[in-house]
Amino acid sequence: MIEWLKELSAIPGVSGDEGRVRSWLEKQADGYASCHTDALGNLLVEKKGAARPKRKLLFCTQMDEAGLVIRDADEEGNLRFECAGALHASILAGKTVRIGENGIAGVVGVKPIHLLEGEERERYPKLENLVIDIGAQNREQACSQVKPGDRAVLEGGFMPFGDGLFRGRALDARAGCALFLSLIRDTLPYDCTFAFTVLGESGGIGAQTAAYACAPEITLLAGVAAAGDFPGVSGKERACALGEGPVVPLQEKRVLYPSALTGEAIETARALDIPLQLKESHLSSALPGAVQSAGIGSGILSVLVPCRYAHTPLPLLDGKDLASAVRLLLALLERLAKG
Amino acid sequence: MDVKETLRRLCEAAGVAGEETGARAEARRLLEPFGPCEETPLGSLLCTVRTGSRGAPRIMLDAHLDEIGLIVTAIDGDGFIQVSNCGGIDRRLLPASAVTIHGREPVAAVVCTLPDGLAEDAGKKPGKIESYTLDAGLCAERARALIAPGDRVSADVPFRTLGGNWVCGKALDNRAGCAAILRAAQLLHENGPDCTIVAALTSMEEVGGMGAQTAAYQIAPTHAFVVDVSFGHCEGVPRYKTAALGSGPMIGMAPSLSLRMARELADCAGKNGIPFTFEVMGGRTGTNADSIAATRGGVRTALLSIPERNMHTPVEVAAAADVEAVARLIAAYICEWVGGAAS
Repeated sequence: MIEWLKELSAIPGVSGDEGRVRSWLEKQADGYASCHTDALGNLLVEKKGAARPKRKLLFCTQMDEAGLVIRDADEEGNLRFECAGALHASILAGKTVRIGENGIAGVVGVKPIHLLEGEERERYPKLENLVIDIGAQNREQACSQVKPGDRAVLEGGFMPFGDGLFRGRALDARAGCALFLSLIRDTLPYDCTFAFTVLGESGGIGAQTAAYACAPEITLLAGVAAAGDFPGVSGKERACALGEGPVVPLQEKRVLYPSALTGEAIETARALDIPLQLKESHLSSALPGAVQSAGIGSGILSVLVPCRYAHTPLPLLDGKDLASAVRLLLALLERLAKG
Repeated sequence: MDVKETLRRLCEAAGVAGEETGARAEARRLLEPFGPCEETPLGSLLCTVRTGSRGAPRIMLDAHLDEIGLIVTAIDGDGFIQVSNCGGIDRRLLPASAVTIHGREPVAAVVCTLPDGLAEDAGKKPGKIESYTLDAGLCAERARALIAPGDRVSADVPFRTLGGNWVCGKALDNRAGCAAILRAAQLLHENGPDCTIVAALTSMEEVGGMGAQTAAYQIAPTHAFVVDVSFGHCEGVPRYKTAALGSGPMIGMAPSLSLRMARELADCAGKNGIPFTFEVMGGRTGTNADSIAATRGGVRTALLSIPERNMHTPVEVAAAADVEAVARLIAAYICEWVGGAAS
């Protein structure tokens, strides 16, 4: 699993440009299940189990990550850009980026503190005041390396971190991919379908169409929940903590989970002595809502891994939570497919 | 000596103000071929590149060795690390940044951030430095075994080149200046007139300039050349305050600087085909030049600056060619002026 996290973290795949993540996943699933790619670019993986399920199950997660999209270069060779997905302009200044297919190195530049006046010092930089510097001296030089529409990702190298944690860019977006891969590589009791979807950071459109096409009775979603177990966070925003087990949300922004399914999760975890955190997730992923009302609708249940610093290039996950999440997903598959 | 490689080695070394150990060790390895090195009580590194006859000019080549960073103030009961600043940190850039804590061993850490809480509509403003915490993923016991109050913290950003000609990294302010002094020391060690030349890579500029002040006292120079970085062209800043990257040394003019040296440096640059611009300042220069000029009975001082973008961020950017140009200008000027007719 560590090797998968490392590789998943290294692949750039901003919303709408998930191709490299898809090929990597396809390679990993090869020989364990059959794969096909749909019209939008979702990777649908059919895994044969020991028996046909009584209730049709879909496992659904996203492949894409939040990132930047290049608009254009100005006369000075600076690149102007937009944010795609859940990235706040307030964390971008002073970060390093890789742009486009060739991974051109750039940095997000900002006016130095010495030249700021009054109010400016007390405000996080705004998107319109940020530029990406790739060492180009004029527009022509910039445009010979980077094209409008190129995606850029923030850098944040993968590493084992502290006591049993992992740090790496895009792990907040792709933790679910690693969890599902564990299941695909395993021997499963029932047939099921895994959807690695596109455009998760852009409204969950991929998840919606995948759920429509598969028409499952129940969809199990995997991802991360924002942990707030660090200084400066209080009240509801503390949400969940690293190392205390997977999070099963009972509700999220605009999504209510059916209590029959969350109840199954609670009982399953209790029976297997898997720690569980029943919290509201504050990341408000677009996937559950999109899946729930796709087609004639399906039951949904999310199993989330607590994650500090999601929506930054330095998300942290705990290896213990990942292992517990895999166990919980396997047990839920068995229980829910049985009917 | 390859300038980019020198810059990489110097920028990747750690040397937050007051604790310049890593950078000093790296600089010493690079300087030792050019003369005997010594360390001052405050941590500056001096290298005597030439020794002149009695009465010959004594020239100090200064660049500050330290970089801005953080200092550990406390470790809380959950292992999170409290910090304060060493030098002019831009707190707006702290959220979600990677840092290295220079404890018993280097420890990777992250500045704790709830990014969704930083959104403009959430009304969150950069807090006081005390409101930022570091997360090394360690429990209190493990954190305390590795990290102690007083440990310095630097930005964790790998050095890189941008577009072939520019370099980017933490601490280019002022390792770019150090690299220029190193290169000038090499040129003057190989070929120079009758004078004493001491290269001084000085400590604590970012917290008051005590390193250069005391080093200048010790060296007792007649003349000094200070190399630092200044503002490169930047979005939202008027052009007359900045210089383009790659446009050569910015020759400083300010009340405390020797106007004669500045004009002669410009002439020398013109004669040798070295590009340059002027940087005119009304008051203090905000560099080591201010204190060096006022050392002992007074020191004639020149300031050469390297244009730099994103100053005091983890992604400072400069042109390697400007570092080389500063070194060539210093060497050419010293050779022509001490070896020739000028004072």
